[in-house]
Amino acid sequence: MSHEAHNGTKLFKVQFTPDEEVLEHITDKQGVTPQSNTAAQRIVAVKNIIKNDDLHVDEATPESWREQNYVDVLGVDTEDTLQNGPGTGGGDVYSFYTIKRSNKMAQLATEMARTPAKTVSFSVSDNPEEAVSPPANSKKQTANKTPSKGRKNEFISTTPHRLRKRLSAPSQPSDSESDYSASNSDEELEEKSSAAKTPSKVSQTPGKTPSKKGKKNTASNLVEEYFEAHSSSKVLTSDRTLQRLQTPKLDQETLRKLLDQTPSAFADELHRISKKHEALFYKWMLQLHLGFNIILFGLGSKQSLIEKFRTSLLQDSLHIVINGFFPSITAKSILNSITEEALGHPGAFRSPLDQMDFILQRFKDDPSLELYLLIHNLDSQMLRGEKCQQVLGQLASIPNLHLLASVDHINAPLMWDQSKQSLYNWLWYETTTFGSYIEETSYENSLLVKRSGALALSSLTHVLRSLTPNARGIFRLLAEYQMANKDNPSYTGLSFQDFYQQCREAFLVNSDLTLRAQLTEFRDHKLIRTKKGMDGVEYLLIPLDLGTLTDFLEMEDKDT
Amino acid sequence: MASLMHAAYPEETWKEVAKRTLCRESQVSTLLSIFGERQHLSFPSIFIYGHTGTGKTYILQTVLRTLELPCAFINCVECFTPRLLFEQILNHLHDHQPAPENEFSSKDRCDTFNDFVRLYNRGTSELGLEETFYIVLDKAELLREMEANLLPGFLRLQELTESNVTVIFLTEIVWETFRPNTGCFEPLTLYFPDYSKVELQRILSSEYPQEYSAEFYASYINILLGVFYAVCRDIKELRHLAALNFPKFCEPVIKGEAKETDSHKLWKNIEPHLKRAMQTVYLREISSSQWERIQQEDRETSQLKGLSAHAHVELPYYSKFLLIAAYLASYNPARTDKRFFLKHHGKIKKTDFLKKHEKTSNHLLGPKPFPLDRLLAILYSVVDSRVAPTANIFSQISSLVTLQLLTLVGHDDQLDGPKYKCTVSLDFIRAVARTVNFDIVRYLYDFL
Repeated sequence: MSHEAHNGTKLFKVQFTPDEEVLEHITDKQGVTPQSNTAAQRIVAVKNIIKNDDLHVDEATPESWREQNYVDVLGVDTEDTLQNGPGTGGGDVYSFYTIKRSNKMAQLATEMARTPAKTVSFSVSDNPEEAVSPPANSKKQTANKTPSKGRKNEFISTTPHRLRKRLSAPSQPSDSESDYSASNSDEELEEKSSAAKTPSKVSQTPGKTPSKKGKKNTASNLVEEYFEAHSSSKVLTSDRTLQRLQTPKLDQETLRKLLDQTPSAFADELHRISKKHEALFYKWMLQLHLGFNIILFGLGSKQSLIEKFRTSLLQDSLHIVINGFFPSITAKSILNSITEEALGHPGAFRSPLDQMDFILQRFKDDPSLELYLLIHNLDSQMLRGEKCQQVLGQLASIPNLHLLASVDHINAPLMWDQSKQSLYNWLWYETTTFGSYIEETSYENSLLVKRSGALALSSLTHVLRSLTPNARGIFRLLAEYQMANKDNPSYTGLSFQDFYQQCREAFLVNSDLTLRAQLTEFRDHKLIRTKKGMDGVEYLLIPLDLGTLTDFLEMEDKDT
Repeated sequence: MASLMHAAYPEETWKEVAKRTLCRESQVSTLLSIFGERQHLSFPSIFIYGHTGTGKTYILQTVLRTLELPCAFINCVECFTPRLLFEQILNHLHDHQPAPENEFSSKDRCDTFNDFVRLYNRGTSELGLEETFYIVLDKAELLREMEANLLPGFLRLQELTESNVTVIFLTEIVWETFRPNTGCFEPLTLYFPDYSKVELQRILSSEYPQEYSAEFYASYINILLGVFYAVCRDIKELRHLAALNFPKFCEPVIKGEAKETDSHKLWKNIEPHLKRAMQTVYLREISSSQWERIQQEDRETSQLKGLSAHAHVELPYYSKFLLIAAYLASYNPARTDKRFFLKHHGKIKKTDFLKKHEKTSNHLLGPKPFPLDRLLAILYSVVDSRVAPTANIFSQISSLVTLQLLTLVGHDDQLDGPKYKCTVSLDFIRAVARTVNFDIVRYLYDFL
C-alpha cells in the first residue's frame, strides 16, 4: 500500500507496508501477541475465502451443510448460514470491533494504513513463504495486466492491488453478494483503477481534504465517474428515433417464437447452477419452519426455481403462489385469495384491516394450520407500495405462515425500513440462475413490441405518473364519469363538448385547444378511444374494464 | 347597565349576566336584542367571529345558560362525521344523555340531513317547543370540510324545519372563506373585537386572591402586562402566566422584605423572573409543573434544560453518514459537487460558479430534493472506507425516512429513482458530524 508519512516537513515518502504488518496492527490493538506464523496462516485463510468467492461460494457449502447437523449450525450461528460460507473464520482478529459492520475489515485496514506511527520501510520479507504465496494467489490478476504494468517491479505494482483486493473482498461474503458478475465487475474496476493510478500519482496528491486520505481506492473511481458524468447539466437529445429504423413492430407471439429459437449457450453450466440451488431446498424448508422467511435475489429469473421448490416440497401442504409480476395484482387480491381459498371464508370484508385481523385470528386459533406463501417478484410495480408491503409484512410475521419470495429490482431493499424488516425476518439467499425473464417481462411495455389487448393497471398508472397533475385530473374526470354510467348499457361515452364543460368547471383547462392537445396525448398512450356517434359528435371512452377502472380510482384516491 | 335591560327577563338575571361578561356590554346587548323574547322568531343564522381568546364561546355560553334558553352547544371538532353532529343536536333537544342504562346510544339514529330535519320536527312537535331553540356550532370552520350540503343546510334550518330555530356559528375565520360556490343563505355576521390593554387589565385583576388586596393584585397584573403584552394578547395565556408567577411576586411580602405598597421593589424582584418565564414557560420549553417546582425549591431557572435542548439522537454509524450526505445533497447545488467531492477538481473559486440568483443562501431557501444516486455518490465520497451497497444501507435510508429525518419527495415510485429531502437543521447535523469527526461546514457551499 502506498502510504504518506508526514515527517514534520512537507515531504512525502512512499513506503510499503507488508500485509502481515497490517494484520499485526490489528492484532496488536486487540492485545494478542501475534506470531508471524499465525499471521501468515490468517492471511492464507483470507486468501482462501477470496478464492472461494471468485469461484462459487455456494459450490462448497452444500456438502458442508450436509455433513453438519443443521439444527446445530443454525443454533450456534445463524449469521453464518446467511453467508453461505466459512467467511467468519477470523473472528478473533476482528472481535474488538463491537459493532458488526459489514466492511469492518476494510475499515480497519485503511485505518491501520493511515496511522503514520508504524511505517515500515520496504523490505522483501523475513518470511520466505509469505513472500512467495501472494503472487501465486494474485496470478489471476497479474496475468491479464497491460504490458506497461508488467514493466514495473512486479512486487510493488501488485501489492497495492492485492491489499485492495483484500479490502474489497472480505466485505463481499458478509454482504452475501458474491456472485460471478459482481466479483467480475469489481475486478474490472480494480484493474481500471490500478491502471489509471500509478503509485507515484497517489502519493503526489497532497490531499486537499485531509480527513479522507487513505480511502478512495476502488469506490472513488465510481464516485468520480458519477460526478464527472453529472457535472454538466446539458441534456443532449438525439434525433435517432425508433421510427427511423423502419422495422415493423413485432407482436408478443412472434417475439416469443423468435426468442425460443435461439439456443442457450452454457446450457450445461446453467443446469449445474440450478442443481446447486436445488440442493438448498431442505435447508430453506428448515429455516422457514424455524421462523425465518426466505428471499431470493440475484441475476436471472427465479420463477422456475420457486416452482421447482413448490413441486418438490410443497405438494402435500397448503400453499399459495402469487405472481407479483402480474400487472393487476393488489394486496387486496392476495388477502382475498388467502381468506377465500386457503381459509374457506366466503364473506366479504369491510376493509383490508378487518381482513388482516380475521387472518391473524384464524392462524392464532389454529396452530396446526400452516400456509406457504410463494411470491414471484415481491418488488413488482404493484406490490412495492408502502401499504402493500405492510400488509405482506404482517402476514409474514405470522408464525405458521411461511413466505418465500424473490426480488429483482436493484433498489429492492429500499422497500423495507427497520420495522418492516423485523416483520419479515428475511434470510437472503443469492440464487443467480441466469434464466431469462420470459414470464415476468411478457406484461411489460416495450417500444419494439406491439401491444395487444386492454391496458393493464400498472401500465396505466405508469403512464399517468409521467403526466401533469392537470392531465391526471382530466383523465380522472373521464374515468369517474364512466364509472357513474357503468350500469347504463347504452352508454356510448362522453361527448367532447360536455367533457370540455366539465373540465372548465374544474379549472383544468382554459380553452378547448388545450383539451384537444391533452386528448391527443391520451390517444397516443392508448388511454382513451374516440368514437363518432350517430349524430356526428365525438364520444370519448376509456377502453378499460370496470374492475381495473375501479382499482385505478381507488389508487388515485389513496395517493391524493 | 341599562342597555341590557329587557322586559322579558327579571332584573336579577340581568345583573348576573352583566357581572359575568366584563367588557363585552355592546356584544351582549346586540345578541340579546337579536334573540328577542322567547317565542319571537330570531335570525335563522348568526355568524360570530373574532380572534382567539376574545370570549366568543364564554359569552354565548353565559348568556344562554343564565337566561335558561333551550340550546344545543356542539363542538365541531368532536363531531367528525355528520351523524355524530346530528345525533348530538337531537340528544340536546330531547335532553337525552348517553348513559349505561341506554348503552350509550343516542336518542335516534340519524345518518342524513334529511333524517335530521324530519327527526328534529318530530322532536319539537312532541315537546311542544314554542320558544326559540339555539344550536351553537363551535369551531364551525370544520363544517366546511364535511359534506357540501351541511353548511347551506344549517344556514337554512329555520326554513327547512319551519320551526323557531337559530343556528349560531362560532369561529376565528371570516365569513368569506365559508361561502359555498353555489351561494347560500347569508347569515348575520357579528364581530368580537380584541380586548384592549385596559380591558385585559380589568378582566385579569377582577379575580384577585382573597388573601391580598385588589390594588396589590392589580399592580401585579400591570407589571405582567407590561412584560407580556407585546408578545401575547390571548387572555387565557395571560391568565395562566399570572397564576403561575404570582407566588414569586408575593415572596418579598411574605418574607417581610417589602410591603404591599413597595411597588418598585416588587417590580425589581419580579421583572427578570417574568422575562425568563417568557423564554421558557410561554414557549412550553419547560412545563408549568416544573416551573412551579423550581419556584418552590428556589432553584435557578436557567439550569433546567428545556424540551428543545434534547435535539440529540443516537444513530448508527452509517446512518450518521447517510444523514450527512443527505444534508450535503440537499443544501449544495449539484453543480458544485465536483468541487467538494472530487480530489482533482482543479482550482475553482466560489465566485466562478456563483450565479446571480444564488446570492441568497441555500439555507434560507430550504432543502432541495435530490435523487438516490447522488446521495449514494456523496456517501461513498465522504466515508473513509469502502462502503458496500448492502441491503442494510438501503433499509437505513428507508428507516431515516420513517424517522422523519429525511422525507420522500414526489411519492411517484419507491424504487425507480426516488427523490429525498433532508429535514434536519444545521445544528443537528453539526452535532452528528462532530460525533464522526467530519467537518461538515467545509463541505457546505453556503459557508465557503
